[in-house]
Amino acid sequence: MSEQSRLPSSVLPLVVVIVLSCLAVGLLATPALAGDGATIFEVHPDEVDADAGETITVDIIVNEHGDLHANGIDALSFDLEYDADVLTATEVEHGSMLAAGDDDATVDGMTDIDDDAGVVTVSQQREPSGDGARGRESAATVTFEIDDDAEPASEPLEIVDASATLVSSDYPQTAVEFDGTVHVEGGDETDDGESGDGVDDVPDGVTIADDADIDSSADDGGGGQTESAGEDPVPGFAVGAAVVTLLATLLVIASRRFQ
Amino acid sequence: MPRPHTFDRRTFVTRTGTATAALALAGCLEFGEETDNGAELETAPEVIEVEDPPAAVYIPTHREAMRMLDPIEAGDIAIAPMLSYPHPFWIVAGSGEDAIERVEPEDGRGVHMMFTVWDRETGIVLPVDDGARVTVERDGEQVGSPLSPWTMISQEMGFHFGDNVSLPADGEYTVTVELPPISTTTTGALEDRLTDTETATFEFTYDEAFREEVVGGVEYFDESFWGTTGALEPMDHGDHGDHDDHDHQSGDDHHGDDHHDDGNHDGHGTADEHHESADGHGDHDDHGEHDDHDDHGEHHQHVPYSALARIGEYPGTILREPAAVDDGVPAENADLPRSGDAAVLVTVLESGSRLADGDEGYLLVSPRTPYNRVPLADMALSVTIERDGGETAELSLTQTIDGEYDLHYGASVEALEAGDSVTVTIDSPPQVARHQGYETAFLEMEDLEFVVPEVDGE
Repeated sequence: MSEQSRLPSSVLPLVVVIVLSCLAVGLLATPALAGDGATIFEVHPDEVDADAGETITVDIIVNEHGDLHANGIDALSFDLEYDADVLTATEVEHGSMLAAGDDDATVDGMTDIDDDAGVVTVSQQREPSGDGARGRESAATVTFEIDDDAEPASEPLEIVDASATLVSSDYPQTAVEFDGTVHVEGGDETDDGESGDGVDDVPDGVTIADDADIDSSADDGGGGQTESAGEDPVPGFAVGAAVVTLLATLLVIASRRFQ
Repeated sequence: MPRPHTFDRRTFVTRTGTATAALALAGCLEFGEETDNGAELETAPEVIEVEDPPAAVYIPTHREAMRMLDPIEAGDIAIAPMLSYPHPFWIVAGSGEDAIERVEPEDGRGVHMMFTVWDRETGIVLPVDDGARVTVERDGEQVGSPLSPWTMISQEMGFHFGDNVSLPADGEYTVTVELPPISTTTTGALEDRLTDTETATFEFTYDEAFREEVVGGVEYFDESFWGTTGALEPMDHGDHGDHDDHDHQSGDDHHGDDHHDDGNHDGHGTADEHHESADGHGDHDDHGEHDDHDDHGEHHQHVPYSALARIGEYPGTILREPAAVDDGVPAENADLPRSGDAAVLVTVLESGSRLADGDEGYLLVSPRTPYNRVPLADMALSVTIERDGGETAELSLTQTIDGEYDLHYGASVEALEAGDSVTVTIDSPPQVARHQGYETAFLEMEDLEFVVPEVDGE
């Protein structure tokens, strides 16, 4: 029996496309070495609706693509700040992110809750370091109790002083933080601590072209692509996708010919 | 500790929703679909990078940080070394979209070494590649092979030499830079100068403090700006509040007084913003003299930025696009005709110009970046001149560095008349490496047609 015949003919083209699409994603994502690389820390979910007296949990998700040689991080730390008048941190559990990619790796570390100051501190090491952790997983889960007498409000959960270290680099990773908000009993859900129009003021030291189209809706998934119509995207950036699409098409055709 | 960056989350939420959906359709989400508390992962970005940047100068995701070392004088030139973390850049060989190649750092131990070289007399940054050679030593032992650094342009740094340099360990390093004579045609105050090989040496410490400094100084912008057409202003402008020191779309004509700031700004180095003053072009209005860089000798850090002169500072008749021949001279650099997003200024100097041969005129073509006026070096340009529909001349232009007009491409020409057509052909784009934000521009460069306008008195 041929290898092709093991798969239903109707499935094979789909499998081919899926596999190659996965490859394309891998090809097109270009991780960088430390410095230009960034480790993303985010509170998840970024918005939580809760009532006074309720208990909630949030994850701190860490996303690390690793360097060009597939090395990841072996240490991370961060603080999570909250309003201690409204929230009480009751428990912090280490997540599995830092053990990613190695079933034998463990996450060692410490957690601390300073409920007077409203700070949860997490510091972790991967043991053994190996090639480091890559991926996007929870690094910690934090449980909060909302004060029984809490008034309706939107309370920020802010990640501060986040850091991560690649096993392969002398340089610390740049940490990019995404905070969260707890909306207590219908607190203003538009109040997330950010500016109101969705587009920040132009940063100091930046010139924007007169005809630039700053995409505040940001609904293209394109990472800030704002070029005016008619301009080609970067030469070469779509090559991977084009090659994969072509290969997929050829394989689909071939699979049909073998049916 | 490196300074972390907090983003406007709503922007990411919206965009990432789309990106995640696309991945889900492909059936290859690489992470667990649920977190430890059961919530789906759907709000974080895949990676911090500009996807599908435009084929134009664009704003990158972040502003790099670097450590400035004291400039070194060697003969007629001065060298300002700068160090940052190893990072990708793009090299160019040839023309078109396939001419660009991304160069990744070989490892995570080392530095991105850069240096700006300028003529001490005129302050002009020397934007040409003449075989610079860099040797790195530690404890008297050579580290790796000697390097031939790339000529590079970056939005913050302008023209400079640079490369990623791997280092074996923390420690003190000695760097020797050898610069052979400038082989590019030089005119004016640069003529018959820069003819000697110059050697300069500097030292730096590679340690944890350095690494934290240069990574901690990185500034990420809100995602809504990533990939937007525009540019980072030259280094050290950002913290001053007004941005008068380079071309703005707003029409400010000149140059505030923020170009001699020696402060260390959030880890971005201690370089002066001298891109106008030190090259002798920019701040005449402020200082009343051409070469004012000597006025600031009390500063330890005095690094020019390779900005060309503003349009109004060029002599002769500025040529126009055919559709704009009756308009005035473009007010701003960004208003100049573009090819591959390069702004191109063309002016005809009258006969008798010191740049022309004999009684001929001189056609001066000055391609530059559209916002910061960085000269685009190592191009191959030619022009075709037509009158009444018939070709009258076809000329190759010579890359020239002039003591007053800096880098340009020029040739002596017979006297031009109003209505003459001058087509500039870019035979090859600038063969200089690029930092992020320039790597997609100045690659596929179409011809530009200009017309000699009527000039009062003609």
